Amino acid sequence: KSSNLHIKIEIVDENLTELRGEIPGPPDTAYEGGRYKLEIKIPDTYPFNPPKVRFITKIWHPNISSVTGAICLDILKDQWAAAMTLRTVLLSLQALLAAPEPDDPQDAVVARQYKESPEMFQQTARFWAHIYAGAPLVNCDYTRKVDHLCAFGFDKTSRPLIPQLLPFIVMCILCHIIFNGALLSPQNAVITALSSHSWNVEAATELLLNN
Amino acid sequence: MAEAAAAAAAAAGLRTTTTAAATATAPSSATSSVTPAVAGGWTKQVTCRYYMHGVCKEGINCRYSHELSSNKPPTICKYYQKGCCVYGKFCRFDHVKPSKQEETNTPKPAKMTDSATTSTLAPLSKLAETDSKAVALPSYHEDWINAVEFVPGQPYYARAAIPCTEEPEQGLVIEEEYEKQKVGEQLKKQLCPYATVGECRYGENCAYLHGDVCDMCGLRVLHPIDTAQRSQHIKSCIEAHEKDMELSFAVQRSKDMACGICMEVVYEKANPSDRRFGILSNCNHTYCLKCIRKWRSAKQFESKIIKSCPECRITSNFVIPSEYWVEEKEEKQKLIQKYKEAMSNKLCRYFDEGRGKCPFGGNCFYKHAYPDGRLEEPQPQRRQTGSSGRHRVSKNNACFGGVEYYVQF
Repeated sequence: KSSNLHIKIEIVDENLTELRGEIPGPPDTAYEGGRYKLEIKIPDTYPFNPPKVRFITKIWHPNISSVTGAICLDILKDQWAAAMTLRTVLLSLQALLAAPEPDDPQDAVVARQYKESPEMFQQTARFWAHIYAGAPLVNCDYTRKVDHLCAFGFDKTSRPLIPQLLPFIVMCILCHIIFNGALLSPQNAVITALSSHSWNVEAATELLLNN
Repeated sequence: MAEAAAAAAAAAGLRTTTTAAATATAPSSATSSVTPAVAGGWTKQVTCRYYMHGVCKEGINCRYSHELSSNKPPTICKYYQKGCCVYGKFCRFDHVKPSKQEETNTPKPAKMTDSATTSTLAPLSKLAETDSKAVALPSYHEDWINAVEFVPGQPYYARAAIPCTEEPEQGLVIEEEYEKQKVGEQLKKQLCPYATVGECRYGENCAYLHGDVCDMCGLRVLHPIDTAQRSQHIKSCIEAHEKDMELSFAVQRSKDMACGICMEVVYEKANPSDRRFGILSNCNHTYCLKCIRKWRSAKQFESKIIKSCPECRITSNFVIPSEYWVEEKEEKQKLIQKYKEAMSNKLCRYFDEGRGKCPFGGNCFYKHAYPDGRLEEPQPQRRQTGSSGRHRVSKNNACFGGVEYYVQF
């Protein structure tokens, strides 16, 4: 219905109760280059009540659940106004990606990381954007001139350039060994575990094994 | 063929009788003329209804009289006597003034005897003459463009030139002068009601006054002499015009305005009763009345949220229902004033003539009056903290279902 150059909305349900939105990660953020899919459910009382919006694409953001994609945004809750549209909602979400509100978090772990080690938050968010939202790794400090396929650690020379990925690769190998490759989505679990534990391999392994 | 010939002969015979009858405007001669009309019978006494309207197919073979003034007993036009016959000189009745009996009587019988002599002396020529209308009938299509307008109830003449039975003779001139003198002053004072609203079918012949055309409304309503009437009319016309202009401007600026909530153009809403604006007192964002009221009565949000404009979040204490979109400051003030005045005439349902308690006290837009008409004394207004109190009231109000009641919040 409404399409800026960047934001997109598709109809999922015939009677417009469910829509699919897509927003690009805002420039000069860790999400740049990524495309984020959103699930939009329109209540019967719309526009007197806000639409229910959730991220389908996984994202590392203090105000968005890294597990469910639930969004903590005032206008989607008590600050809704009847004159708002899906377009304004998506633009607001884009603005939220550019300016997180760590004091009103949806994901406490992410929020803590954002506040305590912003550098690691940036790298993690960037990594998630690359893995899930299709963002290139080009702007990453560690991978300036390295082809992002190499960045997966298969090339020996590139390995020291991306210390974040090192534990990930180690974990993946570990998972394969431990669970015999039978894990349903080892990658997601590993990434979440590592991200939540400051990329500490031991802590993440412990978490995975306990689960 | 034989039958037709017989019919023609009969018709010829009849013609003489009818022409004789035609001359018989006096009752005495009329009775005498009936006797020879054996062939045609009584029907020849009756004027053909079709011929009167110019649509008789029978022509000269018609069993009824094609003489337009034949069977009328000589009657004096009572309208003319009263002073105003709308038919003027086309009237089928005698235009005779009772006071001028001697003068007017003389030309009329003279005329009649004249026609009578011609008809009796030369029936054929008379036939040709009188039937020129009737004969012309079949060929009327030749110049149908010039056909005379058909007016129901009036004799129809197929020819463009309206045959005038009464040539302007001496008597008529006198009549006209008489008319001018006596009738003129009284009659001409009144404007013709037909001419004022459009067209008067009597045109120049109208007994009433046809006023001058008003430049504003384009109607012939300006009295030629009465200057007071003229200026009065022009003034009212200008006022009406100004009002019209104001209205069309209001419609113009309203017609494209879309509601910020339902996104529909307010004037194009399916239900005509929904085509109203709900104007917020403190900002200029457009909503239809229904939407903004629904938003302002929403219970799922804080009062501060719902009492603010859904677009700019400026809080407005009330919504003014309006047919037209009003944005301009002065006009909006006028609208608010008018609205408050209208509200102040309605009894407050909370106050309930002293039986209840209104949470708005002296700030209430509605009337706080006791049954005896005494107004409530202004009380020191208890300052309400924030919006929570109001919010609760507005919740109660939803149960009220009152007409435009929650507007005040």
